[in-house]
Amino acid sequence: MWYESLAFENPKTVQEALECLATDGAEVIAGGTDKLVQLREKKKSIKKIVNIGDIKSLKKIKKNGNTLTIGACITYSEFLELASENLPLLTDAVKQIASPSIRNIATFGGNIVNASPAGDTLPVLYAFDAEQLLESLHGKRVVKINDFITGPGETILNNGELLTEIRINIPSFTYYYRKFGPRKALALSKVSFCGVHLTDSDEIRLAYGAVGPAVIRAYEAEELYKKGQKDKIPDLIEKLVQPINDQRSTAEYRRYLCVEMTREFLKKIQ
Amino acid sequence: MGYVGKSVSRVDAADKIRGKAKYIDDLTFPDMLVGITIRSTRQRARIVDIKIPELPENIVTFSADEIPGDNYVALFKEDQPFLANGIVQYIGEPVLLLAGPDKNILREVEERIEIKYEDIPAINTIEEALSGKFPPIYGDENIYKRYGYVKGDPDSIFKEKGKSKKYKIFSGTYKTGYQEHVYLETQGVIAMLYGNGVKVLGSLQCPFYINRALAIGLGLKPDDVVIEQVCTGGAFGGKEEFPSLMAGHAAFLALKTGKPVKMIYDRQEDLLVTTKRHPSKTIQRIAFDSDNRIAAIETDFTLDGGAHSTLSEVVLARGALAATGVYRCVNSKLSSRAVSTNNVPSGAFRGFGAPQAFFAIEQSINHSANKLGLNPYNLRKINILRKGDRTTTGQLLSESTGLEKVLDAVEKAADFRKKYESYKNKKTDDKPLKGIGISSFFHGIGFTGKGEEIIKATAAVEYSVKDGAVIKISTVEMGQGMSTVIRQIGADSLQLPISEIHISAPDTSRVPNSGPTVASRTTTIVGGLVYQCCMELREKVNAKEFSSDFSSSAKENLDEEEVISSTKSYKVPKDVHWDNDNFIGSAYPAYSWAAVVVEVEVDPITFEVSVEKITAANDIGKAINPVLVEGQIEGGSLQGLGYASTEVMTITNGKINNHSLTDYIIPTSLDTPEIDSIIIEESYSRGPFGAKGVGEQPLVGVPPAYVGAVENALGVEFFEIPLTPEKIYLKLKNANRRVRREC
Amino acid sequence: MSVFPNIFLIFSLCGLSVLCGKKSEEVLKIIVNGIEYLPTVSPTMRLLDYLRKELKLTGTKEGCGEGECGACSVLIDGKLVNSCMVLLGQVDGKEITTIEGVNDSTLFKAFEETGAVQCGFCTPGMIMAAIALLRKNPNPSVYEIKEAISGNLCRCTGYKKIVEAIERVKRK
Ligand SMILES: Cc1cc2nc3c(=O)[nH]c(=O)nc-3n(C[C@H](O)[C@H](O)[C@H](O)COP(=O)(O)OP(=O)(O)OC[C@H]3O[C@@H](n4cnc5c(N)ncnc54)[C@H](O)[C@@H]3O)c2cc1C
Ligand code: FES
Ligand code: FES
Repeated sequence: MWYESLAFENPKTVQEALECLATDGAEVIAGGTDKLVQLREKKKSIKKIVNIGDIKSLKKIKKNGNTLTIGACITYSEFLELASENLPLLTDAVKQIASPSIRNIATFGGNIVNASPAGDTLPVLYAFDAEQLLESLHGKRVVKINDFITGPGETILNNGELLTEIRINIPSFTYYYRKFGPRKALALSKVSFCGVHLTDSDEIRLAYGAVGPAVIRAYEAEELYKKGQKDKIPDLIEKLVQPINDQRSTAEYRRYLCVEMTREFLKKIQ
Repeated sequence: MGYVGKSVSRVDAADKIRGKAKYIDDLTFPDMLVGITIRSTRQRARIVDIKIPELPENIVTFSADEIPGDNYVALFKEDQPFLANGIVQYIGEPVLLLAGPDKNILREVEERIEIKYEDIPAINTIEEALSGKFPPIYGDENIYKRYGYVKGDPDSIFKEKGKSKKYKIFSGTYKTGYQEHVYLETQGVIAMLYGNGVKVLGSLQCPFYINRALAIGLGLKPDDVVIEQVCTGGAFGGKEEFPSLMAGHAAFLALKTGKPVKMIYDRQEDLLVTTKRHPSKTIQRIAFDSDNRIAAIETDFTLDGGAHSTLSEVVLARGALAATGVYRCVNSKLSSRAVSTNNVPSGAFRGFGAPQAFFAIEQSINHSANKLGLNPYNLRKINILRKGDRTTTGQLLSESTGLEKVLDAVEKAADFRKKYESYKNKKTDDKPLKGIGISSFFHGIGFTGKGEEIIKATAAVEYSVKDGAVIKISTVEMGQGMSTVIRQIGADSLQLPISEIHISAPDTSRVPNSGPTVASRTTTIVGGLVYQCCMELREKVNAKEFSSDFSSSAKENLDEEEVISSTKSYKVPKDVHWDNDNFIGSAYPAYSWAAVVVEVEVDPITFEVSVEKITAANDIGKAINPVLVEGQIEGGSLQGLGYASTEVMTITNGKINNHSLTDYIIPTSLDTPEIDSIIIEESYSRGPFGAKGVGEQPLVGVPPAYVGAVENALGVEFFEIPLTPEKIYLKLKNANRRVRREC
Repeated sequence: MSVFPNIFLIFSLCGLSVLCGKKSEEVLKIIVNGIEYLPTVSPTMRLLDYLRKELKLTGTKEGCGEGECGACSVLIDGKLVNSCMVLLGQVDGKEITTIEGVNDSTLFKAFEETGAVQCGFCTPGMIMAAIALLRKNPNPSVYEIKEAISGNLCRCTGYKKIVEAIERVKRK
């Protein structure tokens, strides 16, 4: 591969990694399952690959009260092994990602920073307003997922900044999750849907993957629910989602699925 | 001894399992260079200028004007150039070659090469190809080949329509899409100087096709072009004609540089530029009399051949011969053609035109059954060919016609009739909707029509007491199990232990031309020749037929190292005649017969289809190795299922939209249903030990059974594969049908 | 590749030249099938290429180069991974097992006898997936077997006999 000519760094701490990243053209690799596919197409600006996959502090997962904290370099397999019971909704989503061998190396941080509209952890993270901890040599900041991702493949992450942690506040809830792929494994989403019912406050959260430039969180629909105007939600969703035609599916079918899944969810929480 | 009929373990399995088998990319030679292909980025254009930058000394280019021989890839016609000659006809057409020590550097050089084009209006579709509005790509009419016939008097029957109620007439337009082989090992060859010419090693099906193509392209004597197949990671027809082009490229570079040159496509290149199954469009009318017997069938069958003719004419013939399916039909009319478009050339793929034609006829039957109020199994029972019947071309089915048996076998095993009726009459609700579908089909064994006569396959067997028997054939092992099955045939013919039977490497300098490894012909035709050779060896040592005394007679009659040999060439049986212009006579030496039932569950809301079970019965004559036969049935069924459901490949202005295996969806283990394979053995007197063939057949009939099952579940008709949830949704929406109730 | 040894020298030099933070390991060290290697090639070479081209362990195959087929499956510290999706530098200090390092005669025999092999191109990867599964779960259900090999495409067999082969080992 052409990228054999690039430099490589293997920092062992976040501080080291941040120092490595401070140089021009340095880019992060975690599991590499997005990065290496993208790098097949030559990218002129990249000069150095910084591997953060072996940084121990990024491979921690904790539950503190209602807060689940996932280190950015936690792989899907590690999550399934260590924390699958903490958040069954996320477990459902993660189990359906790619294949066992990809899940063994692909990370949460990679899925988030890659910011694909079809990233399968994202609808769940949107539904819970997950927070991302970003660190750079200049300090730290915490950003909600909805503010973090700005478009397909676009985030507010600055050069030299790392995503180190994902924090999810888990209320009591019931959920309905569906991923639609062209086959049962090794499939990127045509549509993914995540509906959450917060049982204490009787509120809902609706998030839709792969039907817009980023995951769509249906705030207006959630408001309608609060106002008791549940019946108006499906029509609103129909207008809200912005799917496209591509080799995986059609805009029309994707829109249809979004509406129908919303209906299913609403039916379930009646 | 008795190996035939036993599931002997594959002779090649042990090395493959341990990673010891050497595939083409596993081989290296001293000083070996890498070759890459610079391809057209335009769909149809004149090449105005090629600007090559100054190159490092160790990088070599090769262009069309340097080709030492004739610039066409010899097969049937002479239209496909090794390298575009002033004009490109599809995106991906080879224009220029590069060789050098490092692929990464070659790719950099590629970026700096400028090719200037002048576009010509391109032909995108079958409709455009036949519109007459574009300058033709091939010939005057833009058609690679036509076939047509009229048998009996179909016109008078179709004219009856409206006037009398004597016949019920149904019609439909059926479409099938591209299918990509996805052999797990991509295309690859290595070429090097050898003797007075070149040697090419590669992942390939047809050593002698390449031998001929290269002799012409390189301007060498065929004997100076040596082709050797190495362990091949799947082919399915994809390595039938395509490797001739690629081998030519590598050979040009090897001749120019004097060094071995390796060319391996990566998956993207392989998906984008290699041949695929021909997309098709079939317009079909079918008339039934008052007893629900087929009175007439009229078929208009068109294949998109893409930008070069490749094998289109023979693919078309096999499809055309399947137009009336497995049914008795004396009044029949066919017009068919393979057209030329500015798309990637279509080529051979397991089934070879038959899956397209069978999709149409089997869907015609499925739809007709529904309209006639009959169970599709019953309608088939009324109309299928039986022993003693004649096919549409007048071929008498005098033996080995297990069609009714396979049909009954799947009906019974899957409980088809009962399930079909109960699923059809169910009330809709939110549960998955169950459906079941059926199809029946054949596969002609060996080449179509005069093919076997023309190729005159030859096989040889040598024997010495010291070394045992060596079978010499150009037929290759590509995963299908040839090397095991042919040995079993040899072992039983000579009554020797299988360990004493060897197959020499398929190297054109060492083996006779037993023909290409295609057309489900290996076991029957090549195995038959091996059998005959063995019988002659028996005579040579005075061993009686079918006794175990070959070994003892050989020891008595031969010195330890004395080699005896026998060579046999295929002779068309005297009673087999074929008129290729009028489609009269015996289209194939023999037919394998099959029926398949597919069971599905359709999600009533999302229209996702989950395939629960495939029941496939195949009459293949004697199953020389039942486990290998099952392997063909299981693998072929799953390929057929992919073709029918998920394997969407689309092309926009000549550009294929599916660049990776994430975009071109073949089934994974989790998408695989239960597969129940039933083997029916209606012995074929001219096959070795009664064997016919099984390689292609299992794929052929799965699509209509799958679509039939979805129709059974949903109660609507479909006319196109691949049938995706998107298409089901659209259909139901347009039919104003919502399957589920509103919430 | 032997034609241009100087290129790799340059590669590995850039790998070392731009060190930062607390110095990263100067020399790569990996263990493949129990043998320790100190690769001198670029750490951004794919593990797949290192195994195939440098160590000549060609049992690991490339079917797609994009993580989609599983033909390149190996074990890294016991876990199933696609070696086309991993850079050499990422496995520094880790243990790799390739098909050449596997000697599981029961599993091999099961593959042979059930007819789980056709063209064989997917087979080494399938064996690696089977081993990863059976180590973790010696008694998997059919679904678990299918799930475990779901990242390994096979275009020849229809998977049935592969699943049967793995099941057979499980029963023993
Ligand atoms: C065959 C295959 C199938 C797949 N199937 C799915 C699927 O079903 N669903 C799905 O959602 N995805 C799928 N993916 C995509 C991919 O596996 C996931 O997005 C994965 O989570 C990416 O994680 P990674 O660690 O491999 O990312 P990497 O490739 O290492 O990184 C991705 C991007 O994020 C950046 N990055 C990573 N971590 C950080 C960090 N901590 N801080 C800052 N930047 C960072 C990298 O620089 C890069 O730009 C698939 C990929 C493949 C190859
Ligand atoms: S080659 Fe690595 S997954 Fe296909
Ligand atoms: S045996 Fe050929 S791909 Fe699996």
